[in-house]
Amino acid sequence: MQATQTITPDLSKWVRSPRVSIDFRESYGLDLLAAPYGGRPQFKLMPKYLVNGDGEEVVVQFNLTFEDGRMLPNWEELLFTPLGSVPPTLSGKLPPWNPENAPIYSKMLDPLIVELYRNDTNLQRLDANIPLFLDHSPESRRQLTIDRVRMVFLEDVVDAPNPNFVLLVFSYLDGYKVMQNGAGGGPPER
Amino acid sequence: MPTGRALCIGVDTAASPGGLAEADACALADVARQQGFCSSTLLLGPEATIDRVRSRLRAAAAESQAGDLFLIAFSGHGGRKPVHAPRPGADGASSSTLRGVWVLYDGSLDDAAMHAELAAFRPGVRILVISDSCNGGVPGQAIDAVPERAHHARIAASVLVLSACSPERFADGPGMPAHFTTALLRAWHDGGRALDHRRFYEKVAAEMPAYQRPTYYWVGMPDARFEAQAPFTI
Repeated sequence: MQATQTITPDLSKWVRSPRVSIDFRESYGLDLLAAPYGGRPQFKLMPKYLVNGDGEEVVVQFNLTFEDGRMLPNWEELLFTPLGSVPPTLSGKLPPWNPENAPIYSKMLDPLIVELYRNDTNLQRLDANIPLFLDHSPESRRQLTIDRVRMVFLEDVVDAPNPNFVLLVFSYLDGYKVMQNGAGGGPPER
Repeated sequence: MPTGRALCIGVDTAASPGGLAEADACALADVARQQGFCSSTLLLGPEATIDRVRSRLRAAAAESQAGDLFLIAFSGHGGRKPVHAPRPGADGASSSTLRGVWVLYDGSLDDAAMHAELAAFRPGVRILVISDSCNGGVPGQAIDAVPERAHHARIAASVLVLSACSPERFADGPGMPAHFTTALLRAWHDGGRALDHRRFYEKVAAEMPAYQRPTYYWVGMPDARFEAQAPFTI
């Protein structure tokens, strides 16, 4: 008889490094991952706990929060749920962040980004849905669009003192149909 | 006698569920078949990998002779990716700028890769690109303007691009007023088959709302005879 295997996502790395700063951005990430008052976009993940059957408090989801002006209002209190079982990986190490290295970041992250666009991905990630109004047409300014946001934690992938990297990928889920998508990411910190 | 070949690509992602981009590719492949193209390759969803697209482009380049027509149609997501560029006025240092890409199933096809494939086509080959994605298509329009890529082979074929929107602008998806493939097919079935390329483009543009203007441009060698022909005419 085959034993049933329960897969519990390991969320400890998100708990240990809850503050994420965005350095690299592309496609619609240039618009959606922006700090309204300028500077580096930055947010923090606040754990949400449930008590399990043994009476232990367990992290089950994360609420996104940020200081005023660090992210667009769409992101406030976005609730991220852990999904997937396959750890995300890169083919090599990213160089230390520098705007001149953006093309290298783009190329190395590209396979992971397109994997995260897919409905059937099984990568370990945090998922949320973000509401937005696109500044594209009279209709899109009035009609709500929902993008699916996926966030993965990449351990030991940057050749820098902080070797970890968080990648955010989002794409159209529902509402006004524009063929937009985007990505961005940066270091997670304590 | 000239021959027509077609490569129609449709890639739906989470952002376009329900096979809508694939439906665009199928519709344009049908037009190619109806117009007597000898081969019409459809690459849909998981079949539309970077290697497979590039391999099909290479095969078409090897087979196509002067006077032949090759149709490349893409429906799906377009993005803006950073590429190396020289820093203006300076000391040889570089920075990055953004260029359009097509988002295929396993990665992005950028303008440099597309330019390399298009450069393999013989002079006199007519290539029609229909790009239904954000950011104005990706046939390597401005790649020769990047000095570090100036060593790339020049495109000798005549590549005419009809694209859903301008660079760095969004394209509506299926079901919306500015869905490019729908407008293009409507124009085609409503008298567009009797028009030359420029007038056909103007007819398609007239079908589109003001907020999304399609684009029309040449890559490689402009060809007045090709431009004077009706679209999809071998």
